[in-house]
Amino acid sequence: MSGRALVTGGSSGIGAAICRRLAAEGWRVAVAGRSAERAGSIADEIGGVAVVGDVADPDHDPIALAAAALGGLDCAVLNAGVIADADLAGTGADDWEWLLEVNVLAVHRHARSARAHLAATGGSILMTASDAGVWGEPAIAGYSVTKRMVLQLMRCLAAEWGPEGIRVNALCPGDTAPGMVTTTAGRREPGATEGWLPPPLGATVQAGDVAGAAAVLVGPDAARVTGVGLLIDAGMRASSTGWRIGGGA
Amino acid sequence: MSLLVVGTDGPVVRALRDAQPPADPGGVLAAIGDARPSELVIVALPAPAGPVGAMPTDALAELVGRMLTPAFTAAAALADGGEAVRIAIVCPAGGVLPDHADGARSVAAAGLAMLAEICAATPGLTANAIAVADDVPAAETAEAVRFALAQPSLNGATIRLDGGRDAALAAETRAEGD
Repeated sequence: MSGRALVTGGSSGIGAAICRRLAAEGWRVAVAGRSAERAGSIADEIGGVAVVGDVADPDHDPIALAAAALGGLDCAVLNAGVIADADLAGTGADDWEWLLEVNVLAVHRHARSARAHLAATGGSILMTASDAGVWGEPAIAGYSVTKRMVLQLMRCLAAEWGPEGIRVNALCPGDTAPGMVTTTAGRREPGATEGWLPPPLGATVQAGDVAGAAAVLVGPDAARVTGVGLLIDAGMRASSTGWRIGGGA
Repeated sequence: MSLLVVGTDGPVVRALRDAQPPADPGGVLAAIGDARPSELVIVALPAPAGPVGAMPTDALAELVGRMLTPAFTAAAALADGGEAVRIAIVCPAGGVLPDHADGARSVAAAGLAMLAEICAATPGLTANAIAVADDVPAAETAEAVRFALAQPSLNGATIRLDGGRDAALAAETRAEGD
């Protein structure tokens, strides 16, 4: 595969794993992140380019920057997201607005920015939603609501832009290491997964597992796949009691 | 028992308010602050807004701000472990099976459906969503709301009120040879 890809939130966790996987498969990758140091480090490692900025800034357009740096765009992986560790009562107005801005509105803004580039190349958009968008989690109430919205946005755009040859899909990772649960400041030590309930398959999802699914969805083998939200959760959402298999109450 | 109805004004809101004083549709928190209701109905049925991919992000933000944020704010305010509250959220049918021609409302409505599910799993709250097609009579929607509020074991569900429009792919949409 010799395409050109942008990955937002590409400097850590699942995003970094996707950058590495796409580069290994021959893609030229723009690594987008807030930290110039981290994005530059991943970009240097994989022979890509770094795009630095905050997706929550409406004036920051990583799509335009990546397309300029790569000479066009075949794929936009809209992976950047944020989480608030709060149930419904604990989610204040500021947190709610922040979740909406980063998890939904920035994804919408960047998808619209990517549209012309991807229509020209027959490319695709891949959004990172969450298993919490499929089956919500009260402990992360606002996050769950916004990720359900991402899934609905993905489906609508798949239908709306399909006639232009643009495919739109989403990943729905379960608890993943390294991922949002292990890399977000204040949640856990990086990489720490103690206390996690084992899913039906027994092993915790790794970022590389999600990256493998991403590579398939943006690649030629998925040329007729669009409007799909793919769960990568080792079976956690396969059953209403799946999360108890590993010993949960 | 007290019933509070808030949301976008329209025939559904009027049908539900026929036996009570109206609340300010825009002032959800102020309305709740006056007296904690035992039943809260949130009606989020703005006019169709078109495809979401064609809509500027600022316009989507404004729509979400009208449809979803007041509902989220109200639910969060009531999720304080106080006296039990039953919630019914009325949203467009696109919140279940998206309608890309009405994608902007579908995205916000999907958030409302998830909000009902989260509320349902929150101590002290019972919540359901009623996803309504635009051509459903307001009185019928109001009746579905009353049903949702009255069933003790109905919690976390999204009731589709669309005449079966989305129950299965319509036969006429199939191409010859399928």
